[in-house]
Amino acid sequence: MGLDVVVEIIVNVLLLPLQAILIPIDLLLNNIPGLSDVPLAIGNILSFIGTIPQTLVNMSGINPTLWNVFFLTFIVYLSAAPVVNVLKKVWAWIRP
Amino acid sequence: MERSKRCFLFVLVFALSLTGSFTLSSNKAYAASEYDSVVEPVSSIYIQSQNASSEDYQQKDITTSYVSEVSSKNPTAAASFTSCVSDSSCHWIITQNTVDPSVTYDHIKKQTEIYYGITGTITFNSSSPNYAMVSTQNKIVIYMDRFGQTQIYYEPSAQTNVIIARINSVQNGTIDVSARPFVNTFPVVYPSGYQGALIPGALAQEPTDYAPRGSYHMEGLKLTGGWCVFDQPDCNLPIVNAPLILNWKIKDSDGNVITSATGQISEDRSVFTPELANFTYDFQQFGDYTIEAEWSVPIPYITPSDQTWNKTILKIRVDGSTYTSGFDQQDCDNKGVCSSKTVIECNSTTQTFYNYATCKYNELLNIGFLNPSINKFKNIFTAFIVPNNPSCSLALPNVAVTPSKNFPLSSYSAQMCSSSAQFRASFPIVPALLNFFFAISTFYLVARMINNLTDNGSHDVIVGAK
Repeated sequence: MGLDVVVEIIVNVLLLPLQAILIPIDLLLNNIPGLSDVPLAIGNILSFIGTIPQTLVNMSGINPTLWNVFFLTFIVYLSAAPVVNVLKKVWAWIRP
Repeated sequence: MERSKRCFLFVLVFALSLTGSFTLSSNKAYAASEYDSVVEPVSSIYIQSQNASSEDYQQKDITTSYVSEVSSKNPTAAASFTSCVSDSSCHWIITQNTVDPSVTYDHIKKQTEIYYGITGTITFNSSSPNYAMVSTQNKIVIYMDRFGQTQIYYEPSAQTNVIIARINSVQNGTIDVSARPFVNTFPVVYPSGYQGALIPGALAQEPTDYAPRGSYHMEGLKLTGGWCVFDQPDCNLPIVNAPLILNWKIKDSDGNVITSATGQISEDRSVFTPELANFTYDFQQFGDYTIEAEWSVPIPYITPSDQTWNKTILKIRVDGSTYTSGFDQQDCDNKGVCSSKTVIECNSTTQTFYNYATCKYNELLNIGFLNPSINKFKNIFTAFIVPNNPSCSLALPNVAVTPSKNFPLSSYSAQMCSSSAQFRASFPIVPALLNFFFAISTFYLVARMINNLTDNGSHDVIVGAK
């Protein structure tokens, strides 16, 4: 399992509530013909943006492992912080 | 005491949430009238059996192919049934039947039954259990034997009373429906006050709109495709006593034709140009393309005036990925209009469990445009994890100035990469400083995370890292 899989899992979990909320809206929007072209167009732009990180690493000379560890830590930090805060609040509410 | 109250409240809220969820997810509401639950129409028909050796269930969807299934096994039965369908005085009904486990024959679990004849009216019977029935002459049963082979049982000219909708029993809140109507042309007499589901009416008449059906497989820049050319319902070939010609062309995003081809199917539909069923094309560059196809007949034949032959326009995305798409996957109709769904292939046998699960997850959310857009956006995050040997390639597209001349923007990418390599060689301190900055930043983030996990300020691993 590569680091990209770990990031993918974290991002999937983080965005799951938002995506679940959007499902009914998408079901309605699905009736509008031609709207499915929008994600394809977005995908085009994003696939170009996706090449930027490794090009930056290559051009700047940053160690790829160091870059990956930094980014993974950053993602874990972003995802862990709110979860820890919620758990703390729930525990504080239950605790006398 | 205070603590137990809060715990109780917490458990109560949790339990109420669960109850609410179960209530919302339970969508079966049974009617009160004695007949109202009898009819449970189906939109698809299946045949199912248990495998002779493994005892696993094997199933086949025959919703669109039931005529050809009968025809291949018993042409006499098929001819008899199709002549009834084309005769306005003859009525017919197709039902999906669950075979009673206590009388299982040849491991059959589900079978499709066809009844037809010139007499018969569907009525409801209030015996226990309630059911709807029809009295008619002919019967065809399509079933699957224990070896997965389709079998036909044909019983012509037998006056029979047939149950075409029936609830067997209600056990533990689950209704066991042994006969479900799929489509019907018999007249129906509903009981007074009936509020249940209606027995579905006849299928639409033979479609008057025809559009070529086909599929393709993309692998990198190579396209392999084929058109549906067989004289069977799935292919929906135009009905005409003439050879059929199929013209298809691939166009780029500007509408320029980059390749075209033609194939022909003989008048008796037995011979066709091989390229119709299997054609290939190698794209020169990534991009969005369309493949357009249209039926025609050779001179001196003419297109039937009561039919409309439409052009199918399938979208093709060439981005280096491997996928399969086509008429069905892009949700096309007989007018050739496709809703162009993004195609994701999920295969549990060739993919790892994680990849398969992710694929199914994305497939589930691939509706509308908000969730598919978010799915595309998520790729940005994974793109931040770079390989050990990161490439220097900004995928800049060439900009077309005129149709014949491209502005070579991509060449600037190579120039930029060589310049940066020279810069690093001249100033080695810059990459060293950048690496130091990333190392310190990573350490800082880890410290903040650990501090956040501990109590507020009293046990900080690194004081100040908030």
